[in-house]
Amino acid sequence: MVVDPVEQNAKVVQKLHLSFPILADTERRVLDVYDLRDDAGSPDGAIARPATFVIDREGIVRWRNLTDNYRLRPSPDDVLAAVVALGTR
Amino acid sequence: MSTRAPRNWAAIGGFLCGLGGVVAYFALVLIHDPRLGWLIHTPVLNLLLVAAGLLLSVLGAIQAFQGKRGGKFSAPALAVLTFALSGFLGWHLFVASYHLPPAMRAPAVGAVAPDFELNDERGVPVRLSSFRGRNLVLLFYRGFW
Repeated sequence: MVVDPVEQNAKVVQKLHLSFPILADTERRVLDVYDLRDDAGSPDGAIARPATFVIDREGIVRWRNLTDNYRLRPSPDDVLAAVVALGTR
Repeated sequence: MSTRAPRNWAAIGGFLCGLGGVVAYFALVLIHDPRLGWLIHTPVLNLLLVAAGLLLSVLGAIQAFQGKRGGKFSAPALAVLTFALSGFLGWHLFVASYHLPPAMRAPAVGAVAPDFELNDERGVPVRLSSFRGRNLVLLFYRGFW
């Protein structure tokens, strides 16, 4: 999820060979619903603050990381551990 | 007594440079002109001004100690002030500005993630609830602005 346009996201998916979709929130609608706007984030206006949610099969948030310093992100290991904790059944 | 030492321009200029760099930065932030956004994000001019200020004020203090220039007390005092000012700007730029306010309304652990529909990188609408039945990592990132 990012505020960049679809065309930009297509380039990223192709370049990085991503197996998951990148969703374009160009109007910042979802950012507002999720309260993740960083209004001073870029010279061109609001962008997302880095945030990660692990959501289970019922659509319930089971783990999240909303860093309070945008230079500090959760480690992939932490996210992976949260996903593994949901089980594979 | 010897004649009065010449005025310590380096100390005065250094302090003014430092003060100017810091004040100009916060003026930029207050004006908040979108055309100047890049200058707030990468305040090269302000940092250069502050760096020049630091250099000059050190030079001024050294010259004062050597007795070449006046201001045996005021030159070091101005240098300390210049360092304090640039320290404040540095702290603001490189520590405080990374800080994000708490996201009070963000979905909490245990809550249902609010549903939405957005286009994927092919322009195809994707609905969050279409992932029901599968575990999911939803990640927001800052992008390539």
